[in-house]
Amino acid sequence: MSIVITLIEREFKIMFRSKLLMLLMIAQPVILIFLFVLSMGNVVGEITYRGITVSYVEFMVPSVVILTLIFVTMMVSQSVFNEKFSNMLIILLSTRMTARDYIVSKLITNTFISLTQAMLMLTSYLLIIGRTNIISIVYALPPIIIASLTLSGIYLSLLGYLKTISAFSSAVNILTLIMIYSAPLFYPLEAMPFPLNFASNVNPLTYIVESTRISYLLKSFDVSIWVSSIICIIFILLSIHTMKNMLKEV
Amino acid sequence: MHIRVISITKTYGASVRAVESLSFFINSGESVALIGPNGAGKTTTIHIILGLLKPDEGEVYIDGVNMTDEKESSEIRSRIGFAPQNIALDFFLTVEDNIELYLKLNGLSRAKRRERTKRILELMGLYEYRNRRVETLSGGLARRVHIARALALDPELIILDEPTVGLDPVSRRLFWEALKGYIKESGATLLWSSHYLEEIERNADRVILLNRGRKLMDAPPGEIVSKFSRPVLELEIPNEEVLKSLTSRFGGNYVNGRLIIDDVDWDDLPKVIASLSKLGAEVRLLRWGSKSLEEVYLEVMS
Repeated sequence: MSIVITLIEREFKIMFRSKLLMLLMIAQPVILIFLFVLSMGNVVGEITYRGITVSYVEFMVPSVVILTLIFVTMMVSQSVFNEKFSNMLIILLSTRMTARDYIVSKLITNTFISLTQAMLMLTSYLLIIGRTNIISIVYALPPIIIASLTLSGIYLSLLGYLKTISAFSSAVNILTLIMIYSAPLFYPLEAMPFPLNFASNVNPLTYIVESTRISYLLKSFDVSIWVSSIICIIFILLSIHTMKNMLKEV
Repeated sequence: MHIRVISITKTYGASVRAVESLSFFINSGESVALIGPNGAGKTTTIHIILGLLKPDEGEVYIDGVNMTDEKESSEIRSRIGFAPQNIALDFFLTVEDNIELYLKLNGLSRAKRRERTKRILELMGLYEYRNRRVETLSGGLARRVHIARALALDPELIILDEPTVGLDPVSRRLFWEALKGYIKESGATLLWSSHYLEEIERNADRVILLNRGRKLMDAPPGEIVSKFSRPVLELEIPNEEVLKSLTSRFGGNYVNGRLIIDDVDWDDLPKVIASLSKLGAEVRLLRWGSKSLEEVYLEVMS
């Protein structure tokens, strides 16, 4: 466990030493939520979601958070390639660190970074726009953690399987696009057209978005959080398996 | 620490055989150099020894520990200092952070980390740069940090993949002085690869020559040189008749008034001298030398 902690410490040291990266990390979610509310605030009125009427902006807040998580976990996962090409992966693997230590540290770091961004976004939404409340944010926290872990698991699994940066980038771009449009990110599930509604059943993002939205808007948890927890475990195990294979061939 | 490599084979993809049935043994305290052209299998061999790559066949043991087993080899890896071919450092971190993190990942306590980092930075002449970010260092300094990190562990086995590539001659000499000083003090085993053959001739106890993943030779550099080296005779004789006679008997090239007889057989040497005496040659210059490891290497590889 101490090795995992050292690896996480290393990741954060590198991040904190890069002022530009830090600035980007803090500014991006704040700008994103601000622009979103500013641009979309009055475009669509209210919509009905699970029996309650909410403004479209409120409906979309969990979606914007999930979209941020998608891009952050994708970007952070891709950093494994930087470590591979810079030979740092070889150095790390020549120490007492095991492949599992490395993968677990990546999962935790990814989750922490994306969670920080999500919380920054919700906090700035609360402080600047003043439309939400602390309780909704607290309720949204568990599904956001699950979402961060699941998305990290998905991207690290792909990375372990595809091995080259070009194959990874191509696959991730296509897959992410399909996942985004076949999940209830921009509209409720009921309004989703065929065949997207059919694809949404097998899309892990559907359960991630639904569990986050229900906990944020309704301040409760339903079956979708359990489904996303199971999906999360599956992808974490899958990422450990595929990444372990990749790390054997550095 | 001793290394036993038993018949390892590694193939990349369907057809690229990087290493084939390679076996050798390295004794504790020995300095062994792996040489060979690019793609000979040096780096693959090093990675298999370190347990970074799994061989398709064969096994590697370091002090009796099977390096192909991740769990079994975990402890022993913290006794091996390794520096890969290309500089591998966290460029946003300071020199000191790079070394300390490496030591921490190898399970060293805070006090030991501090002490060893300070000592190695002083030994490698890097102490004044300890708080500098690696990204601000020159290439030569960064390479010194890269090597210093491997030595900071106080390793019993040092594995260096082309350690002096990119260093100027003075830095290379300083590097070898520091490394030899360390090895003399610690008794560590050294396995390294290099393309600088004069460096190998000076610093290796034994040379393993690889080509296309196979071992061509395994012997001390002096032995390889003497095995392949034949004396070169360079004669300056003012008499053309004598020169012609010598050329017809022993071959050689007539260059700038001198007869150069390459690859003289040791057994022929007394005959040449006897002929010179018989012909009553007035010899103005008789020079002879043997080949360098580099010349032998080029000859073997061609």
